[in-house]
Amino acid sequence: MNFENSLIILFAASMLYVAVTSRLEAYIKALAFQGFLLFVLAVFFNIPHGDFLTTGFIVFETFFLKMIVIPLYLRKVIRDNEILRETEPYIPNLYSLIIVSLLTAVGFLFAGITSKVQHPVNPIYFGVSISTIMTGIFIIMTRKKLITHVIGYIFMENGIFLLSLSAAGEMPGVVSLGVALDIFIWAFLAGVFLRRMQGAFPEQDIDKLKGLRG
Amino acid sequence: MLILIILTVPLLFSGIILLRPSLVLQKILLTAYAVLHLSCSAGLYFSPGRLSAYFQTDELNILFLLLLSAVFLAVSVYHLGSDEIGNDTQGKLYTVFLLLFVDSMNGAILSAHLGLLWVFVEASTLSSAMLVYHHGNKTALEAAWKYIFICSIGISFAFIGIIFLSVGSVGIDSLFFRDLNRNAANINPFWLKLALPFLLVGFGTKMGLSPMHNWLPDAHSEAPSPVSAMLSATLLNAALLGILRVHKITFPAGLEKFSESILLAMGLISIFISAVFIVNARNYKRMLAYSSIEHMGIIAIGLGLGGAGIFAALLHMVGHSLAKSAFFLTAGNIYSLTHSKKIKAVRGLFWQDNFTAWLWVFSFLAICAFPPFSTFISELMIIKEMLAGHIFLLVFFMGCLTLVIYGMSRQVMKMVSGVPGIERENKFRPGLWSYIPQTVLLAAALAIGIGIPAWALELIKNAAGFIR
Repeated sequence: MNFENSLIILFAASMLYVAVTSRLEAYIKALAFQGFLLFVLAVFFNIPHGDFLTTGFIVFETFFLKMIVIPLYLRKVIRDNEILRETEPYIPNLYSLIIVSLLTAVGFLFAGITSKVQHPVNPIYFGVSISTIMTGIFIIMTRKKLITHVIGYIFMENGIFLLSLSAAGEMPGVVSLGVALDIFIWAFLAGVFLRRMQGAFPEQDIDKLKGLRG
Repeated sequence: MLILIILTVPLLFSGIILLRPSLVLQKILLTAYAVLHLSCSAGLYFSPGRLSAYFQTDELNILFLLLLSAVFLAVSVYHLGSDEIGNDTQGKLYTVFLLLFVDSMNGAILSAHLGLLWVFVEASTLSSAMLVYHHGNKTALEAAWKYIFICSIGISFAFIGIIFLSVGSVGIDSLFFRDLNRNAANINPFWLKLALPFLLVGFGTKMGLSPMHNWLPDAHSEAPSPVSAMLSATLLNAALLGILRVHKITFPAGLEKFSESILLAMGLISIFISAVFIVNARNYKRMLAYSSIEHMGIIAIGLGLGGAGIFAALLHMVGHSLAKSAFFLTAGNIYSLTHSKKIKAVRGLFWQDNFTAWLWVFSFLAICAFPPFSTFISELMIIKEMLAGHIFLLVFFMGCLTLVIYGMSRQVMKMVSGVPGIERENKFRPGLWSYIPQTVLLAAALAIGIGIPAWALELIKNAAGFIR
């Protein structure tokens, strides 16, 4: 139990790291690291008893997709498109750190409140996942580059995955496979569109997406 | 068996098209599947079917399935005479993604499990994003990007809601609608209350309801017109089905008032925003897109009022799907004639193409709920429901609708009247296939308004009764 909790704390720390780093590749590394943590948490601590099909899908989703394929693919998109290595936030990193810390606190506060209502949720899981989802949205809102929006969305998805681990009711294997495939295809499509955008909007800033109005 | 056919044939046809990309074959297979789809839906109407535990028809989704069949058939017939697909290679991707898009909506409509419904709604975003991008220019890219991004974030909210719901339903341990409905009273009300805003806003994003409606005008205006018709008349309905499935759970759980107030708020903001934008519209396809937001808002208001409002909302959905698909397909004719989406650039449609102009005017009348179209009856029912105790709402509602009618009629009349400006060479004349689908769709909307057939009335009544 203690080891499990420290893994989740590491997960929360990785989001704080994301808040302060200004290098794009550090985001990718954080993604892969979170994928690894989710793999360990899912397989060693939340394994459904004897359900090999669901276990297989979870290994596929966390180890294969979240830890290896998606980070490598995004790194390739960054390198191929010669995107600058800076994350270009709208606000200074120090403020980001403060806000993300506050979001983490809000997550735990929320977990504290909900743990008074009778439910089968581990409050640490719950707090960290809520704060990760909020941080993902925060990253999307405060970063200029389109690629950081993609990464922010995947952070948010990681938070949702952690939330689903904390919930007692298991999804049937078919459904979790579908969810994993959706996220994978999403990342793939986002990469394809990013490549096209390189031609149409060379700066790849959200500020440039102003062609459609009214 | 019929469900298996509906779900697998598009995959088979996609494979054939990828192997043999010829435009004629693409159009034939598309229409063949549409005919097959309608026959299977009709078969499922007469004898409800199920495929494993995950897919089945019930009183509610058969209405959505039949509506999807009807609109899809009209759109695929329209393709026979349309030049928007492009050449063989462009058409290959287009047709394959259109088939996958329809299949993902099939899955969303037929699924009997909340998680599976989510998977298919997300899949419908992914498959239709490529269709939005079909024209391949800068604005289409921007629209596709916003579409895939905003919808995915919205749909993620719905997934958070699903997780909260499963936390609250300890002891039920199942997200099959059947189990959720049967044991709704045992769901912890705290978690259900927490889940509802996420689920409603999440599926509401996909349905085009405020506050996350921003993707809709971009995607609908940049997509090829047949795709806009599909997005507006079928995809929004599939998301609505997600909302209805969730809304149904709140009745036995005793939380229907909470759910209704959220729907009412989202609906009212939606019609207000769309009214403001329709008055200032400069692009006629965007105008139609905002009108879709308005009608989804009206449907949400109908659901939020409860009682007879639910029946009115479903009737309105049917009327909107028929009229709006006709409207968007006619917009395709206008685009083929003028090669512009700007209202300013379109003048004297009666002078250029009499039949398209009439279709444009009649679609406008059907969408703005002029009698005797069916939308008139459904809006009248909603107004009647408001008269009983929601007078302020009624004033606001009528104000917004008046603004919409004023804005749309002004733009539509500008487009059909007068004399066209510069004569263009390469004059395109829409063929017979570009008129028939809209005529049939509008005739259906008219028929439902004048005297709804007993079986259709029964269908909508059963669906409304199923929710309550």
